[in-house]
Amino acid sequence: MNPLGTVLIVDDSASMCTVMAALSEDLGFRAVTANSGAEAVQFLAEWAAGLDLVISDVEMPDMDGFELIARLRGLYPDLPVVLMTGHASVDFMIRAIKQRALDVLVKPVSRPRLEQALQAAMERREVLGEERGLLETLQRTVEDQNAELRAKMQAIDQHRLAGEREHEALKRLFGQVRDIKQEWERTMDCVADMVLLLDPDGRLKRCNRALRDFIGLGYSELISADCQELLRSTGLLDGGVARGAGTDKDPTPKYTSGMELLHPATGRWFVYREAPFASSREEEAPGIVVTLHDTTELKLTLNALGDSYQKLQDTQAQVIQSEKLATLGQLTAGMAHEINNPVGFVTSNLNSLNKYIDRLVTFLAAQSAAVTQHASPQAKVELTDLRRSLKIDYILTDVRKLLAESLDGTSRVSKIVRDLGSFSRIDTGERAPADLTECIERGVTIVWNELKYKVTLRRDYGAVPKVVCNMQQINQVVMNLLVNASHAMDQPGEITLSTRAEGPWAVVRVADTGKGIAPEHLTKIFEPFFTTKEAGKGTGLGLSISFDIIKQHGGDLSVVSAVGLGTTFTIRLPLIS
Amino acid sequence: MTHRILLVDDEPNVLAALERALLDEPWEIHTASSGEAGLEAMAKQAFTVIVSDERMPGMGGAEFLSQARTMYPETLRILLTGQASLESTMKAVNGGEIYRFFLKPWDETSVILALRSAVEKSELEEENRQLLRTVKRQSSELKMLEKSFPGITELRKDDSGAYVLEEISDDEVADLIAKYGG
Repeated sequence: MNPLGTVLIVDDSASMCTVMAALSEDLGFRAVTANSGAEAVQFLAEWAAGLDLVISDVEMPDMDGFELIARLRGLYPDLPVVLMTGHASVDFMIRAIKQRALDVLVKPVSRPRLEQALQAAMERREVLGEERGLLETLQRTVEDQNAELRAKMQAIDQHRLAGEREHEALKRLFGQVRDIKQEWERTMDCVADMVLLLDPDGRLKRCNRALRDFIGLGYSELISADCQELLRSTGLLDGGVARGAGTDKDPTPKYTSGMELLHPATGRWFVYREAPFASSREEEAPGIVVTLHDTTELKLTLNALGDSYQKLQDTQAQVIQSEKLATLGQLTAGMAHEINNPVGFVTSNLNSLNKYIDRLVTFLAAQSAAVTQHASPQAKVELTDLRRSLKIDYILTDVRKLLAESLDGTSRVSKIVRDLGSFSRIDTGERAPADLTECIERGVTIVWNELKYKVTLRRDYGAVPKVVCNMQQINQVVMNLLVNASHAMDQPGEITLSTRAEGPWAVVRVADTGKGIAPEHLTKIFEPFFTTKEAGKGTGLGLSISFDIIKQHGGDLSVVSAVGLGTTFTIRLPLIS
Repeated sequence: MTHRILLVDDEPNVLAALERALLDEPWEIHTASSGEAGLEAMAKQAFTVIVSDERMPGMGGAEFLSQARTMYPETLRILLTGQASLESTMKAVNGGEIYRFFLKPWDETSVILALRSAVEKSELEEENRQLLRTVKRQSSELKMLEKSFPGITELRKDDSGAYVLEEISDDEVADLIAKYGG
C-alpha cells in the first residue's frame, strides 16, 4: 500500500532518526533521514518535490533547527516543518511560531503525538493544495482576463494606429494640397504680368506678386478692393486718349478688355485684358480674371521702328530730292554757258540800244526843230501826219518801257540759271569754324536795304560755340530767310533773329510776324520752283537751295507757321562735325 | 597814244555787243574769234587790254590768257566767262594773273569801268617804266660823269643853295697839275 506521505527526519542523533523513522513508517508514512541541516538541505535540493513534511531536531551542532527552517522557508514555502526539542520553553515556542513551524514535538515523542503532527501536516498539505488549486484557478482567471484585456488593448492600439495612419495620410494629403497651392501661387508670382482674380462684383479675390509690387501694398490690404478703383488709384491712363490730344485726359477711365494703358509715372505701357473665370463648383459664382501685360518694351521697339521707318522715308525723300536737284544743277551748269552767252549779248545790246535811242531821240528833236523852222508848210503837215500815223510819240515813250521790260526778262533768266547752277556747287567750297552771329550779321548787312522800311529787327543771340560751315552758304541761307520774311509782311512787322546752343545743335531761328504760310503750302515750300510770289518776283529756288545747303552741312531746316500770325524758320547745324 | 583793246570770243554776237557797248570809249577795238587768232593779232601789234571768253573751241580762255601773260606781260587781262564754275575760275585767275573777272551776262557799266581802270593802270605802268628808264639813263650818265670827274657827283649845296667846294691845299693843287697839267 502507498505511504500516506513522505517525511524527512533530521537529527544529529542517528538513533533518534531511526526511532522517529520507525515510528513514522509504523504510522503509514515513508521516512527518510538526515544527520545534519546541511545534509537535509542537500537532500531537499534533489527530492523536495516528493516530500510532504520535514521533522527537524532543533539542537544540532552545525546548523540548528531554526536556521534550517529559515532556509527552507525561503526555498520551499509550502513544505511544512515540525520542530523537535528536548526542552521546550515559552520563548522557544514563541520563536517556533514566529518561524512558522507547523508543530513542536517534545522529546521523547509519543506515537499519538507524532501521529497528530503527521496528520496535521498532511491536512496542511491538503489545505495548501486546495488553496493552491484555488489560487491557480484565480490566477488563470486573472491571466485570462489579462489576456483578454491585452487583446482588447491591442485592438485599441491597432485601431489607434490605424487612426494615426489615416491622420498621417490626411496630413500628407493636406500638405500636398498646400504645396500645390503654394507652388501655383509661386508660379503666378513668377509671372511678370499682373494677374487678378475678381469676384462677380469686380472685387479682388487673389492677385500675384507683380500687382502687389506695382501698387506697393500687401495682399491683406488689396483683398476685396474694387479692381477698377484700385487701378485708377495708380494713375493708369487710357493709352489711346493719353497719346491723342493730351489735353483732355480722362481722370476716371473705365478699363475695358484690350485697352492699352499708360502709367505716366514710370512711362510703362500695359494691355488690360479680362477673361471669365469658370468655377469648377456650381455653388461658386463665376468670377473674372484680369491680366495687365507689360508691353513697354514692345511699345518702345515699335516706336523706335516707327521712327526709323519715318526717318528712312524722310531720308529717301531727301535723297531723291537732293539727287533731283543735283542732276538739275549739273544739267544747268552744262547749259549755263550756252544760255549765258546769248543772255549776255542780248542784255548788252539792249543797253546799247538804249543809248542809241537816246541819241536818236536827241537827233530827232533837233531835226523836228529844224523842220519846224525851215520846211514848207505842206512838208510840215505831211511830217506831222506821218508822225501821228506811225505813232512816233508813243514809240518814243514806250521804247524805254520796252527796253526796261526786256532787260528785266534777261536778268530773270540769268538769275534762274545762276540759282540752278548753285545746286551743283553746294558741296564745294571750304568749311571752317565760323561764328554764327557774325554770319547772320553779314547777311543782315547785305539785305538791310531791302528790309529797313518794313521791318523792325530784334536780335536775341545766345552763346553758341563756333560751327564748322561754309560761311558764305550759311550767309546766303540767312539772307534768303530774311528776304522771304520781309516779303511775307503786308505791313510793317518784326523779325526776330535768335541763336541758341541746344544739345548737339547750334540753332538759328528767323521768326517773322508776317501773314504765315497756308498749311497746304507748308509741305511744298522746300520744293524747287515752288513759289507763291507773283510771276517774276521769285524763282522758287531760294528755300530749296537753303534746305539743300543746310542738309549738306548735316543739319536741318524746318518751319512752323500760323496763318495770320507769322512764320518761324529753324536752322539746326551740328556743333561737332 | 591810242589804246588798243582786243576782244576774244567764239560767239560773234558777243563780240558785236561788246563793241557796241564800247562805242563811246576812246579806244581802238579789235576782235578775234579764238585764242589762236588772238595770239596772232597780238603778235602784229601791242594791246593795252585783252578781254577773253573762257570756254572756246580749240584754245581755252584760261590758256590763251596764260600764254599772253608770258609773251606780253604788259598787256592787262580780263576774263569774261559764261560758266559759273568756281574751279575753272580759280584756274584762270591763278594761272593767268587776271586783272578782272566777269560773269556772263555782264554788267556793262562794271565792264567799262574795269576797262577804264585797266587802261589807267596800264598808262601808269607805262609812265613808271618810262620814269624808270629815265632814272636808269640818268644814273648811267652820272656814272660816266663820275668816271671823268671823280667827286663831281658828290657836290653839295649849303642852305642858301650855293655849291660848296672843298678847299684844296697847295700840295693837292701841285699833284693835280702834275697829273693832268703835265
